[in-house]
This record gives sequence, structure tokens and C-alpha cells, in this order.
Amino acid sequence: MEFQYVFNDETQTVKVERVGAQWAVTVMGETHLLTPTLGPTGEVTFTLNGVRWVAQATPDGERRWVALNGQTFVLTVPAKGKKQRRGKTGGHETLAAQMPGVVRRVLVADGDAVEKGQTLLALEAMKMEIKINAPHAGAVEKVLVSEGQTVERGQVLINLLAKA
Amino acid sequence: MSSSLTSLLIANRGEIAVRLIRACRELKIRAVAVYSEADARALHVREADEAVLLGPPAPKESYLRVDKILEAARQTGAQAIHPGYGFLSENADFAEAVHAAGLVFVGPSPAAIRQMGSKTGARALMEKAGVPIVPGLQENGQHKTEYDWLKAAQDIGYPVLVKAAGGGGGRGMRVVRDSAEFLEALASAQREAANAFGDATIFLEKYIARGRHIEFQVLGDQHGNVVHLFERECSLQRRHQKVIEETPSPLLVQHPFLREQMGRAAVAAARAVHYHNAGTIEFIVDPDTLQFYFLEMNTRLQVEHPITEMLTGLDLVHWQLRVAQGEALPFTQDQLTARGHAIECRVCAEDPAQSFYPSVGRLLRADEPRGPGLRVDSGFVGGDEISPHYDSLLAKVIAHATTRAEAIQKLDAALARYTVLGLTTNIAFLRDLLAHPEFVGGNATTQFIGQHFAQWQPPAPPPAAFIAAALTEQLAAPPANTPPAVAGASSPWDRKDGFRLGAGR
Repeated sequence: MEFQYVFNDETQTVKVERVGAQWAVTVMGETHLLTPTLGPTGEVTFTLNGVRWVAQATPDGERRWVALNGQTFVLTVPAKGKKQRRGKTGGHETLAAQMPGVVRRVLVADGDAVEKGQTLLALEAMKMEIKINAPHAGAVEKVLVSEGQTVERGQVLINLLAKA
Repeated sequence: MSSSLTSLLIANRGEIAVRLIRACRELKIRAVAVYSEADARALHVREADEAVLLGPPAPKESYLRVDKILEAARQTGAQAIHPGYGFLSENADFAEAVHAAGLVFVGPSPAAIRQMGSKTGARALMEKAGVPIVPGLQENGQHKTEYDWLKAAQDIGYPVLVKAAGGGGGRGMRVVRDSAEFLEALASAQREAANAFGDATIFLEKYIARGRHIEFQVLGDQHGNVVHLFERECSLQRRHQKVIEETPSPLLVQHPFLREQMGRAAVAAARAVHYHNAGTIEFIVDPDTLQFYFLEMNTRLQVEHPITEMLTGLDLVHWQLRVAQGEALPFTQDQLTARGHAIECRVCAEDPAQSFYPSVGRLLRADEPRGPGLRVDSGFVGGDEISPHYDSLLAKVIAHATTRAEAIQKLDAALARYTVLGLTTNIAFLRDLLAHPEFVGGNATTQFIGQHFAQWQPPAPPPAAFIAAALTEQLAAPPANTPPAVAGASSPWDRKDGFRLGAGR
């Protein structure tokens, strides 16, 4: 079976194949013969190139949380057939919340011309304020949220129209 | 302990509420929790004997509602209120209202809170008490113009700190490095102060750029006895928020005479406001001149109090409850001893690689480390929801050992065993801080994190991480030719019980 995971925009394919009592696992161009065990709390243990790894991997939607030997990583399963809708399409651009929180301040209105770097909106979560700045000059097409509103991670806050 | 107190309301949430409830258990005191709608299933609510809903998630509508908290105390027959830290803990009006309701406030007198709460008032008071203060300018009742402030900043010398008189804990405080940014920073500090603390009063202080943050724990009773329980060094800060705290201070270990002086100054500071209960005097120390200056007093229990408990063997919460009931301290300053070295780090739901943005959501798993000399104070367990409404502190991990080097080692090993899944945490970042030679050498100043870790990135996953993810999916997946497992409602991934390979199901 093949599994794909993305970390830092890089996709890794892991091929797993049963060979008798062992598993042949291919990743980053190398094949390893492993004898993994799955423990009572879901931890998987295996020895790779002489190093013993005890890993706890937990799914969370499309994310895979992997804790192993004192470190934790979040891998993502690439979405199938679904294009990421964020970003630019023909001068239109959407600005989304990088974190869930509450909209503290809205500093622009529909139709406003904005400069590159101008603060458009401030979000707050866990006592931390983050500013949403214009990535480049343009105009505010639509502000989709209002002050005091709670937003999710990835929720679109503002539609921008890039300067031609 | 002979205690007449049989019930205590805890006006807080998270790890500190849980820690206070456990103290109640030890002392056979009934623990009453309060909570917001966001915390209905929180650990502190589950652990308490009784819990009362205050209101909606926003602190202003729940944990800051004095009227509702007093009503909860009345309803449940609680005799005393412990405010924890944050929220209402340094609100003199709240302490007064608690007294007026005929209840015991586990903390200092409202007057002491008020005196120390005004940062400008405290500066004046400390100056009078002979406690050194940082050179600066404050309003002292007369209005100051932009010109006055700008001129003062020039005289003090950049960088300067603009601070909110009602602020604290890094809030309402900014560093200004030159005159060009000064007026804008002044205006925004005033705005922030008015918003956050309901008081636009600000003041200026010289910014000790390469300072060491060293604070003294004090404890006083209602009979005029005040002792200090040694220092804590909290120089590792990020945007004035403490990240790692330890005791003794590596700087004071080299300069014991300075500990003597600072300890005496701390006790004098507490005496100046007739302080009783637990409190902390914060100083900034210039390591080049070994001059120390009063920063502020926190008139409450500190987040980092456990390291003092590990070092002295005293339970600060027990003592808070005892002196709040009028008991006299049975020990004097020279009877107090410190043993070994204790160090704490704050595990937060935040992403150090992405401007420390908060991480919010469900904690899928939290396996806490255990072992000799280790303590974990946490407010959450696996399965809990972490809300965006409150701060990002998940847990404190504290290690105690004979020497500093051993304590650091122990803490690092504990962090390595702390498995938190579902939320991004600062654990890897903390481990890198602990390993840095400047920290290991005991020389880190308040600049340390900004200087060395501004561009910090977590290590990239080794091949084993990808293998582990794939193997777990493969081994946990239903047998034979089914399509690759995508987590869904029916996936064995969702099983919370110990699914076993070949366990026959």
C-alpha cells in the first residue's frame, strides 16, 4: 500500500509491503525491512538502521500527528481532487485567518484602496493579537467579517483586488 | 494543619484551578469551581466537588464577573475565595467585595493590591522605602504633554520602556529604541492601556537591555511577619512573557552578597504595604554593574511558584490558606533553607515557528512524563478542547535535582517524554532553549530568546516519522484490499481503546 504525506510543501511517498513476517518499507528512495509491533495504546515500535523508534501517530482530519523519540511532527495527507482555494485567481485574492480567534478590529471598508503592508484587520486569540496586512497594493473588494465575530482557522476574512 | 476552613471557591480555570483543587483535597476542604460555557467540560470542573456556571466564554462575561462569583460563593456556602493568578487576582475592588460579603480573600489586603497595582504609585512608594527603582518619568498627578514625554525619553536615554500604569505580565508595555518611533509608541501604549486596563496612564522607564529578571517570593502573615523564600530567575522571556524559570538564580549563585541585598529589599518592599499572604517582588538586575532595580510586585501566587516549593519544601498554597485564616508564620528568615536546584518551563499551545500563533482545538493525546524529582501541573487531559478565549498555557513541567546541570537534564528528558498530539506546542522549542550553551552556562539575559531564537524552526521529520505514520495506518487498517485509510467515522483510527494488531475483532 502507498501512503503520501506532506511536510513543508514537500510530498513523501511511503510504500509498505508485507514480505513474510516482515514489512518492506520504501521512503526517500530507500527500502527497509522492518518488524514493527503495534502496542496497546496504538504506539508502533520498529528498528531502523539500528535505531529503535517508538512512535505514536494519531489522525486528526487530514493531519497526522506523529510523536517519536521526543519529537512531534504534523504531516498532512494531500487532499485528493480538491484544489486549495486560497490565493490568487485573476487579480482576486482572499485573505484568510491564520489562526482561530475573534476579530478585534476591522480597519478598512469595501472599496478602500490599500497600500502594500497596510493593516486591514486585527485578530485575537489566547490574548495574542495578530494583524492581517495587505500582501500588496490594491483595493478591498469585500470585508467578510465584523468586529467581535469569532472565526475559524482558514476562514476567509477579506477579498482583495490586486492593483492591475 | 488545623483548619477552620471547610470550603473554598476557586475563581480561576486551567492548571492553576486544578492545582488549587488538589490542595483542597489534601486539606480536606470542599473545592468549589466556577466556569464559563467554554469550560463546561474542563478538568477543573470535573475535579471540583461542586461547580457553578458563570456565563459566556469571554472573560468579561464569566471569570471577571465579580457579582456572579460572589453569588456562586453564596449559593454553595463557600467560606473563602482563592483568585489564582490573572483574572481578578490583582483586582482590589474584587478583594474588597469578597471581604464585604463576609468571606475570606486568600491574598493580601485590598489596600496592598491597590498600592502595588498602580505601577507609578508603587515606584514612588518603593523609592520612599529605600528600594532601588529604575530611572524614569511618571505623571504624578500632573498631565504631561507629548513634548514632556519626548524630552524625558531623551534624558533617560534610549531604549526606553513605555508601560501602562495598570499593566503587568508584559501587557501594556513596549520598548522604544529611538525618538523617531517614540510618539507613535506612546499613543498606542496609551490606547492599549485604556482598552486593556481601563486606565490610559502610562509611564517611562529606562530599558535595561541586557538585564536579568530575578524575583523574590515573599510570604507574610497578618501579624507583621514577612520572610522571603529566595529568588527565581526568569530571564528567559519572549515578549516579556516568561518561558523558563529557575531557582536559585545562576547570577546570584556567583554573587551571594547580591542575594542578601535583594532579599532584604524584597522584604522591605512587602513591609511598605503591610503585606500578608504570598507575593512576588520582581527586580531587573544589570549583570555588568550588579545594580538591581524594583520592577513591580505581583500581589498573588505566581505561575512559577512550584520551583520555590520544590526548593524549599514548603507548599505555598497551604501557607496562603493558613495565613489567610490568621495563622502566624512559625518560622523566621534564618530557619528557611533551600535545597538543590529547581527549573520549570511552560508548555503552551502555540507554534514557535510561526510567530507563536496560538494553536486551538482538541487535544488528542497528552501523555505526561513522570519520575523522581518531576512535577507536572497541567489543566488539561487528552480529549479536552483548548479554547481561543483564554491563554495558551497547557502545563508546567518542573524538575528538581541536586545541581543545575542535573535539573536541566531531567527537565529535557521529561519534555522528550511529554507526548502532546492534536495541538502544536512549544516543546521542541523549549528543548532547544535548554540546550543552548549560553543558557547552560547560566549567562542568558532577557534578550536571549530574541537574540538566538527569532528565526527558530523545528527540525524536519526524519524518515522514521513518515514510516511511523504509514505503518500505523497500515497496521491499524482493516485487513486486505481495502483502499488506503482516510480517517472517517468508521476508521479504526477513531478508536480510543487500545486497538491491537491481530486481536481478532
